Amino acid sequence: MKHETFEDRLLAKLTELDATRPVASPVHRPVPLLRRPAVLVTAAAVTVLVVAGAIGLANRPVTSPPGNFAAQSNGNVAVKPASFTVVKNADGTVTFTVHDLLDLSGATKALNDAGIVGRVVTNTQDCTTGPNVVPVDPNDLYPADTFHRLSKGGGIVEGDSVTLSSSFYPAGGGLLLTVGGGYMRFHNNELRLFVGYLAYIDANKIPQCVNFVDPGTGDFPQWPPTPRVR
Amino acid sequence: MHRERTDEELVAAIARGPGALAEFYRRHIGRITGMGVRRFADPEDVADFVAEVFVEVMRSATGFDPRRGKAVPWLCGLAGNVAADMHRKRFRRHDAENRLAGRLLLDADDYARVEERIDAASQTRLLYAALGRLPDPDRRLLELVAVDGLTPAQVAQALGISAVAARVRLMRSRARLQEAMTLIRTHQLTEEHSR
Repeated sequence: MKHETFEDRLLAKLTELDATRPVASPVHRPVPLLRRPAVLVTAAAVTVLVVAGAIGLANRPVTSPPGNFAAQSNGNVAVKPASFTVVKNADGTVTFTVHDLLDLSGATKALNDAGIVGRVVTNTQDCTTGPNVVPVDPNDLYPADTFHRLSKGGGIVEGDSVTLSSSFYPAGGGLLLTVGGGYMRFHNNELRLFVGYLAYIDANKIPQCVNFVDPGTGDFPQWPPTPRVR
Repeated sequence: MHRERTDEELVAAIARGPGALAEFYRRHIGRITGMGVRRFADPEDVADFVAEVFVEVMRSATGFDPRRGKAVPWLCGLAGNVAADMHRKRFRRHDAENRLAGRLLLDADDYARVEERIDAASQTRLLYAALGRLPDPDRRLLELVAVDGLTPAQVAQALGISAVAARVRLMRSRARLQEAMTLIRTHQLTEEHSR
């Protein structure tokens, strides 16, 4: 087929590119934080970077095996006693607390055993294919929950602990928990851990991993995080 | 009867994977070329701009949220970012394999055709040159309103700001633009007199 004009030739080239690109591409262009649902996972993990765990049921916290995780912070080395804690509360909710980034699968299992469908993940740069990238497809999210928690402010990033309920997602759905950590510029560069979550309509679409770029800085948050120098 | 997909549905389909880009391209190539000739006086720059905008559509489609607005303002905002990057000579090359040098696709007929459109847009580029003297937030907003004809509400969506903020910024920017255009006209008249 002969391409007569620039527009035709460009379309042919674009079609070639389109056919060979990954199913979903991460967005690298900075976008206003907390303006799009797709950014919610990022918001949950922007400052993030550490996780993992242990669980406790029926008000009896169960901790994970010692992670022997050395967190580098201001030159000091801290060894955390456990990766995570899961507590099942009297009202049926489940409180998840992260201590370090080890044993994500253990954290997921503990959470599932406590009655929460979902998966615990952290940011990994080798996560590049399929639905495993951020921003996620907003059509996969449970909008009522997402917007409710966004409008509340702080509901997406809850510090190192989050209280969850099976009512946060519809039947057949589940939660994506993102965990991580970062050095807080305005808090003496101390290392803090965070956990955030998103509700998915279909539990089968919850990513196995996430890979995001900080929309504010363009940085890729990694573990261990690099202390910011200004 | 087959229903034609909306622009928003097309962007969502592009985000999901290959196949839908061609239809979206055919619908909007004229609009994007128009944006190009209003911003660049060189056919090669126009060609690079058009190519990069549609590559950026592929990259950024996953970030489009139809609940936040329509696809056209989103596309114009994205194209505005590409133009700004080109003007700042900070053309992003983070994904070199996926870059397209549009200028390599131009032939002699294309040059003539694009130059014709560039000539027709010369007055608009005067405006664009004036915009270049404004602070970045003002320039981005006025480009989309005065150069590309978007409504303030569409611009608010394209820039990710509230409609009220867009209106306030628009009023302020217009005043600054008048000052800038007066300066440019004065400069042009001085040059003509000195020839």
